Amino acid sequence: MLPLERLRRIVGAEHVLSAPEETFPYECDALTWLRRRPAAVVLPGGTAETAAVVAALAEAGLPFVARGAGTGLSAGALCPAGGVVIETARMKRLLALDPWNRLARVECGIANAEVSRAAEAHGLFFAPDPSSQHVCTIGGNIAENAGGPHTFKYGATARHVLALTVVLPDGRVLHTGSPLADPSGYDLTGLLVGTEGTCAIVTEATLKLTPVPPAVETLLLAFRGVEDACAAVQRVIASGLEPCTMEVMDGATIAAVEASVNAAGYPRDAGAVLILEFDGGGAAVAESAERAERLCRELEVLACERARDRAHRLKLWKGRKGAFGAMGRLAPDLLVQDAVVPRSRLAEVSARVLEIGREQGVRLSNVLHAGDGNLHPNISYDRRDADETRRVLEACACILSACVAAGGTLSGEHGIGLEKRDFMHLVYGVSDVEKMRAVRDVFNGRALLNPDKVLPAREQQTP
Amino acid sequence: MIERLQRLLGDGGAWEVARDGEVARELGAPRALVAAPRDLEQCAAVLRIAAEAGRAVVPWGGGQHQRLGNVPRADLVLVTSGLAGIVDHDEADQTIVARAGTRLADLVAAVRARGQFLPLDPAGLARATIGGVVAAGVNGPYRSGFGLPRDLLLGARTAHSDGARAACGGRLVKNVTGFDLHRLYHGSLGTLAVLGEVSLRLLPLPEREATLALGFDDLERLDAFVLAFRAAGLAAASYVLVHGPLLAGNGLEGGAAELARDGMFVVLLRFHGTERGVGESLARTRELLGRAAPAAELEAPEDVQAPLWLACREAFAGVSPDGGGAVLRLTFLPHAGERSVLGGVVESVAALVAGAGARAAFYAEPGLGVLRVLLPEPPGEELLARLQAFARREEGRQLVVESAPASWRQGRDVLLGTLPHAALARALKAALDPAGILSPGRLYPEEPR
Ligand SMILES: Cc1cc2nc3c(=O)[nH]c(=O)nc-3n(C[C@H](O)[C@H](O)[C@H](O)COP(=O)(O)OP(=O)(O)OC[C@H]3O[C@@H](n4cnc5c(N)ncnc54)[C@H](O)[C@@H]3O)c2cc1C
Repeated sequence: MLPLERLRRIVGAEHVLSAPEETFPYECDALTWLRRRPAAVVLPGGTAETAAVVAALAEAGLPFVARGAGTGLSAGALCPAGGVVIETARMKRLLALDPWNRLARVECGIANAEVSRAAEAHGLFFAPDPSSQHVCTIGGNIAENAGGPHTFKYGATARHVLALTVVLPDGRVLHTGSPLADPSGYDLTGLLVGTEGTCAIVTEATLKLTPVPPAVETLLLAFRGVEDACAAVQRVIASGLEPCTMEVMDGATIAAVEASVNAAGYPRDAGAVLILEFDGGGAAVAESAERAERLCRELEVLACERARDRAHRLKLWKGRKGAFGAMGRLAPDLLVQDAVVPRSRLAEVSARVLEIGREQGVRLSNVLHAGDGNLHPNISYDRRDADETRRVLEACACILSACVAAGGTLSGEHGIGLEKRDFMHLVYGVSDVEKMRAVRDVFNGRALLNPDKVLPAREQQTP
Repeated sequence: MIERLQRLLGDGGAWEVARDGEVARELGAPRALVAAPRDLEQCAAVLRIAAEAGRAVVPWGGGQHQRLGNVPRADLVLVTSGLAGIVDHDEADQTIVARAGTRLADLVAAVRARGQFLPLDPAGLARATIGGVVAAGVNGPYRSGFGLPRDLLLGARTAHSDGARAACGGRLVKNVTGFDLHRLYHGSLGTLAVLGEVSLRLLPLPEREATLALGFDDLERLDAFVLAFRAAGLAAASYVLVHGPLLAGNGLEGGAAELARDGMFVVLLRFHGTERGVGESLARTRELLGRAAPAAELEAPEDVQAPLWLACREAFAGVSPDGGGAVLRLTFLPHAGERSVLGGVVESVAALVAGAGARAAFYAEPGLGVLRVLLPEPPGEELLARLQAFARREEGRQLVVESAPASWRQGRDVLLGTLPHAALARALKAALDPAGILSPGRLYPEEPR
């Protein structure tokens, strides 16, 4: 039975939601076709309250899940049946900022961009920059090992997390890692990052901050199609230049962006645009940008624009930052797919993805973190239309298979969650998953915390 | 057991260790057997045989890092020399898959020959294997600029003591599919699984490389430099501090010989990048030298760069030629507010060492807050106790014995009580090494059987 009274005593009655109109918004994350209504939502105010809440739920034998901002795109925060959502929205304090040691200690519910905002005055920032950074939480980023446009240079979240405070599924509190180099023992911090909230609930984290580079050069290049843009990306990578970002948007995305409030002035006749950015010392980035421009001009570039100043750079980025929003306007629902292929196969796989969209008759556009080989095919649809939804899911399955067949994998940053759990057999064998499960069971042996995510059930492992 | 192993691996695939050989010396196990599987399947089979016989197995790459951690129980040494070679170097994707027994030097050279760069340069590069380096979780002077192997590691294939083989991660530069168990294996010193294959991301070879050596004979000035360099936010490919005498020879002639004199602390900085980019980094670093003027300064000529870094890298591998030395590692937060603490830490540690009548050289990573104390022989109990007391005096410092001869480590906890979460660690070991036979006791002490 739901220990509502006990939960209310722990966090205060106003922080326990159980009426249907209150729990309704927690039915899904940003993957809207998978929905489940929680029995209750609890908002603890810190590590101790989280631990007490978890202990109460564990005692009652009820399943539960941590939820940050709910921007996840793989149904990771979907509530287990009959379970409770533990939302981290009240835990958003910046606990300490140590600019000289380049460290920030935060509560897990703080928004990603808040950390960079606080560090800015000291010439520092938090490098992982998911497009959802103004809302998504550090806890969610840690769970998903989130990335973003600048991951190409700076690496995903795992590289930037030094220590964690977590609540284990039985309510015990554990401190892992250290702000010091080379802490003794197993790298539990490194292990827990990317486990999608299936092993522990993160309540606090010590993050590594990065110096803001003194200079940035941004180029916007327009091409006839994604293939040419990807060829340019390959060319730049092969030349030894080291951009910090390489973002590609296809023609359908450009059209949607240009028709939205985020119109960035991308050439409407282009079949693809590439945003290429270099950061570092002033002379170095100027030299790199010039060289990259020359390299790309040897290919068939329709247009090339180099940001003159900050305002111009923000304008070039505006379309990219608003791309998902613009796509979202086209239909009631937007499915943001996420897969990876070797960077050298990106052009070919992108073409195949468009073809799959056509075959299934779905409205598909593609945004790529091209430097990382990471594709985001976006599908605009209406989930109330059962047939359309079926075709969308079919298209997703085909896209994932195509990516895996090209040497790629299921997810580069959005995670497996529930959405892709049953595709895991495409990349992992039974014994691979068994080792992952054995590790999960060390933390979450009763499978009360976020059960049935990431790892397929034993019987489902062979297709 | 040797018969079973030989039936599996052929007569040449299993043997008894030489009583005075390096296995016996590094592990203090003169009666151990050696098995040399040639693929991951054989690795798993060897582990299964050992598990059935209840024998402890120590994975062995090049032997370079066997002196890390505590002395494990060792009945069987699983050498990975038969698991060598590059499986696939995808140049266009800048990734490489290599078998664990591949010598790191070979891997680095193969990558370089194709115009790419693997920023790993731990001590003993020529002897170490990529599997061993990942399992040990170590890097050399490139650590300060590129991190640990962990930061390049994309995935692994492993063999386990239940005879299973498993994969985690993959070979893609960005991948969140499944749990990243490779980050757990990294630094686990062969206590969880045998690494059979690893994949790594590569970087382009820099167009230009430059090395600046700044010799400080005054630790306050050194701290002023460390602070100014941090404030400048410059990115270096390597940033280390070494005791001058460790660099002696190595092309430091004429005026530069000053750098290698006793009492000199040398900041070695290496910059990577484009022609203009490196020039800019050098110029900006020199601008910092006003208040933090070094006693000697050298931009290393082309032919001196490599020997300098080699000397620096091998400084602590070769503490003493017969391997009888020890390395202590003190970690600390490098800054206390707007102040560098490195100089003070070096001074205090040097005084403690001198007070105990011992000799030591120092190697530090100023940006990371790591100080290595290189001792020509293992520390006496009194020195160790004093250094521990110094480490404990302030919160946020940690001292461990990083490496020492097996004879000295035998029966001790070289991690000096710094290991957290013993129960959880044991449970993880039980999950991945169900038979409990992989390097037992190397990290966490074995529970009494
Ligand atoms: C428009 C849009 C753009 C996006 N762009 C990117 C992008 O560029 N890169 C990228 O990587 N992702 C992106 N995402 C996906 C998403 O924003 C990230 O996965 C993000 O990290 C999720 O954070 P959240 O706080 O919203 O987590 P939630 O959605 O609330 O939860 C996600 C998962 O994390 C777990 N979790 C949350 N908090 C904790 C905690 N404290 N402890 C343990 N587990 C926890 C949940 O249980 C769940 O499994 C985007 C999403 C949207 C909607």
